[in-house]
Amino acid sequence: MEETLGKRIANLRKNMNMTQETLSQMMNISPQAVSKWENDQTCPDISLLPQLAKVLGVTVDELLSGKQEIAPVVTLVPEQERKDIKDMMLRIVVDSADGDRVRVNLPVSLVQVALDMGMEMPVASGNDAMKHIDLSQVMELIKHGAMGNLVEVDTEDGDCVRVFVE
Amino acid sequence: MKIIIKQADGKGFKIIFPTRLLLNPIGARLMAKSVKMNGHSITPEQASVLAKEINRCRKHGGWKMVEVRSAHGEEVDITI
Repeated sequence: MEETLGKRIANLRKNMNMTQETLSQMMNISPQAVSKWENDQTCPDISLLPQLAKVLGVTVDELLSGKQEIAPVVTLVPEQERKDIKDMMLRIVVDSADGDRVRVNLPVSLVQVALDMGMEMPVASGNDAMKHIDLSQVMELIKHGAMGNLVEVDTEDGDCVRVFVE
Repeated sequence: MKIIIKQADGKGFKIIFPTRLLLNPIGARLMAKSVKMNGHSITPEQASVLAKEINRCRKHGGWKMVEVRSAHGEEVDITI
């Protein structure tokens, strides 16, 4: 059975070895209110959600959906375990605030050839959010063993750009 | 190479052609001209080197190079 919000709050509280009273004090509400939340008789007021999430050590999204956010991972791979650069793929992901999605997948060796020739990279420079990303620096990171989510940019316009290598 | 374009109303078309048709010296010159028209600089020689590298990468298996999904429902996929 799907976990309700109330049960999730109760489980998160118990995971932190916290009593309902302690939670109520931290939230500046009555213990009865916490009990009602946990028994799904009422829901926390929307204005309390950020604070409640913080106290319980989760994000608001995790509190409401129950889904754990997976933080992007960057790893430094030891030299002896690194893949050949010819087998690596550079992925550029652009999610614009307008709802447009662009995915560009380029073999790392191709990007290296282009940069070695001193070429501009239209795929990179054509997007405002990408203008300040130095692909040659990204390539240096890759050469030194960095793998995973190397660049993540959230612009003030709401665009999100990620550059990751796998 | 496969180019798939879909409009928001569901209509669209697919273009499939041998990649070598584009990635050759003549294709490289055309590529350079087209890129220049869009405000970026690339010489025919650079385009030729890129074309050779793309051909080399293809030997490891094709890949979806570009995938675009607009907010209005248009879709563009380019697979090498």
